[in-house]
Amino acid sequence: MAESYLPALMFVVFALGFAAVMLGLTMILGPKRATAIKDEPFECGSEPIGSPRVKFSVKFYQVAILFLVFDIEVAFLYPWASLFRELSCSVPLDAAGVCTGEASLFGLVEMLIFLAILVVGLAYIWRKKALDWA
Amino acid sequence: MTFALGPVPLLPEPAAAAGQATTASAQALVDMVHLAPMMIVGIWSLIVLVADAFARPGLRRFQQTLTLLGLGLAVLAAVGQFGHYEYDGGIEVFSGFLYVDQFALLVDLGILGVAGAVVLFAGDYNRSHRFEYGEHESLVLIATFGVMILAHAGDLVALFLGIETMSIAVYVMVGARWNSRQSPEAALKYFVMGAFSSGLLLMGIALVYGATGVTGLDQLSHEVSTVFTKWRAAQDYVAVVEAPEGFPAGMVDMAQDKVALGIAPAALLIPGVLLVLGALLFKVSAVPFHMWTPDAYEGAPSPTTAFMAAGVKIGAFAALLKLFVGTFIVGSLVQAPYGWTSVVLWLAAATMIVGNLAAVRQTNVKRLLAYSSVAHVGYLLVGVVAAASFYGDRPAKGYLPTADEHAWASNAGDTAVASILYYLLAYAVATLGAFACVSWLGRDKKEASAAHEWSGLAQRHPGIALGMTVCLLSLMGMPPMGGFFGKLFVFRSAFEHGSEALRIVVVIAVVNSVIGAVYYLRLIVSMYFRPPLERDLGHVEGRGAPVVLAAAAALSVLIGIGADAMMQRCRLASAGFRIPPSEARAERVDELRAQWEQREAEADRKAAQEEGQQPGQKAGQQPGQQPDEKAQVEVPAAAAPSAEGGTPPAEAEALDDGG
Repeated sequence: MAESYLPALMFVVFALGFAAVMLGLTMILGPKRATAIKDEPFECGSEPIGSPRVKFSVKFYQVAILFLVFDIEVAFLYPWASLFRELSCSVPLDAAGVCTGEASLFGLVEMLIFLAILVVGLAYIWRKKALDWA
Repeated sequence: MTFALGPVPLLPEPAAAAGQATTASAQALVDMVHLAPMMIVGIWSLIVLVADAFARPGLRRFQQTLTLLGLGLAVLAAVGQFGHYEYDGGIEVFSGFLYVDQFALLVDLGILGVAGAVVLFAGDYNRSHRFEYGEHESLVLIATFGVMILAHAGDLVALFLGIETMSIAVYVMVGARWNSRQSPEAALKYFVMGAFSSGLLLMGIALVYGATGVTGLDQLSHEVSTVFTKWRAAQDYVAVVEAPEGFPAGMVDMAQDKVALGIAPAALLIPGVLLVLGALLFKVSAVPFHMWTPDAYEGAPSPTTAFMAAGVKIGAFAALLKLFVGTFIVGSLVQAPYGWTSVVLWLAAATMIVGNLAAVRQTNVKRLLAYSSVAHVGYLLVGVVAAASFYGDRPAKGYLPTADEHAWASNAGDTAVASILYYLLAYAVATLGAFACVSWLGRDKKEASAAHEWSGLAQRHPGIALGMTVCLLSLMGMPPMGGFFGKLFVFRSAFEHGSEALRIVVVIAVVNSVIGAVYYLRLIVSMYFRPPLERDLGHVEGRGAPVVLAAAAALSVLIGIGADAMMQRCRLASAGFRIPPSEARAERVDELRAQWEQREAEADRKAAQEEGQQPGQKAGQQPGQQPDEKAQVEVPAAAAPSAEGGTPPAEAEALDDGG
């Protein structure tokens, strides 16, 4: 049982070792000639302007968080949709994937409850003006 | 015609399966009704959130009332369920994902009370300190919902969900005071540490799942013992693997397989269990995972601190009990050298020593109460270790337990769990009162939580000082307050039946209770015997905090005076705690009820004889029990004494001393 993890261990060792060897070799072998231009932060060849520490509006994070919620909603919806035939059948599907029993509302209602909770959240952020950019 | 024989027996099967499956959706509805308190709180958190979004500004009072209404409904549901015969054996809902049993229902009642109290005084506090926000009530309800998931959890995944639901709501509440610098800092500290501990918990759950292949708690308790059986079996082959010379090749191969199969799961399980333990010890803030506690407690708004000190502790201890007293109780896992009790025992001692010694040096009342809560966790952990070692003691002694020993172990373990529940509730009540008082003092963005600001409080606000004194005395463990009986029950059950190491730690705990008196009494002395400050620091407008303080002080005394009745309820909640929901657990509860009936009938008879009347015909009313169901317990009444055997009925003694 423990041996079956050996490939994983070998992979980890190899990955760490490869990175360490590569970085180490560059440090040892690479020529080091520092100039003012070479010490500049890399900006795709153009000259850097201003400080890299720019203040972002907190609204970006807000939008990102709101997006995350609905992104996860889709992540839940997808496997649910692919299993919907099984969820809406009161007996396990037969080999051909045909429902031999009665239709069941179980899967639909479960997802509706989940969506209803998210809709409550949507109504909340909408009323709290979290969706307004201004 | 003969070929028809084949399909015939198969025919009824689809029909039966269809019947089962159509009831599956109906079953989900029935399950929700069983979970009524939890469902009400969950739905109410959404209702309150929407009400906040759509209500006109200035309707905060309405929102508070709405929340209290929901909590009241949930309390009604829980009161109706707790103690009802239907839940004696525990019911599995959502295919064993959650349990509804007496333990969970009692914890539900506790946390609903905590939430109600916090909602009562948080509104005034937030308004007075100018950071009123409408989501507060909803967040309290969500955190309450999380604690209830923990209490009901029947699966490691449910446990994780509960902890996260609870914690995330509390992180937000801690950081909600935007006009203070400390509050976001406290929230960040709490969040970073809490998220890390959640990671540990998840890693531990993954390892435990890897070792056993199950996440359901009742299967786990079975699988864990299988892991150790295999591990023990593998020990015989270790010699063959280490010195294969002289053994046939086939035997060496087999020995290697046995050793690999036997040792690998144990090698996954032990670190997994320790990771889960570490994460839960973080949540209860036991040493050495307590560092965040004083900062988070001090920086958080006082009502939130009250919820953390009372509600989160209740939830985390419910989880700790479920996992480490109810599930991971196989002898080898509990006892030395690999067992967790040998570690937690000394952690408990360290927790109370560190908590108490640090509390003595505090000059801020909130920090003082934070360290005092750390110390209380230490006392509670003694109970946890005691309960686990009683339940899991037998196999470590190297022989199979006899029936008598089984009965003894379950009795001693159940009593220890009941003591922990009693202690938790007594502690939660007193802490809520203390923090209600802290939240009441000071106003306009300035809390009066420095200890010197409390001097002479009794001259300015005698009622508040009296209530605070009662709560502090209960925390200190002064009879006849609830805190004293909590300590008495926990220490007693650990001392009476515990091992030598456990007894030493109980002695340390008693010494620590005395050290604890130093800082509680110092605060009381400064309230009563020091001159008041020249400048009145003012207090929060509104009656919420004084009402909660008065109720907490009254309850502290009440559950102290009525320790017998209270302990009986805790005993009902803990009966058969180790056994997963089943008929067997219901039988244990029935035995217990029968014992009580008998004792009450005897007491009645004695009373009647003293009055020179006929022996009493009917047994006294049991708490939380419908009269028409009494007939059911008459049957096992005869069986009860035999099961009790020659073993000392520990809980009977504890109960008799209670009153």
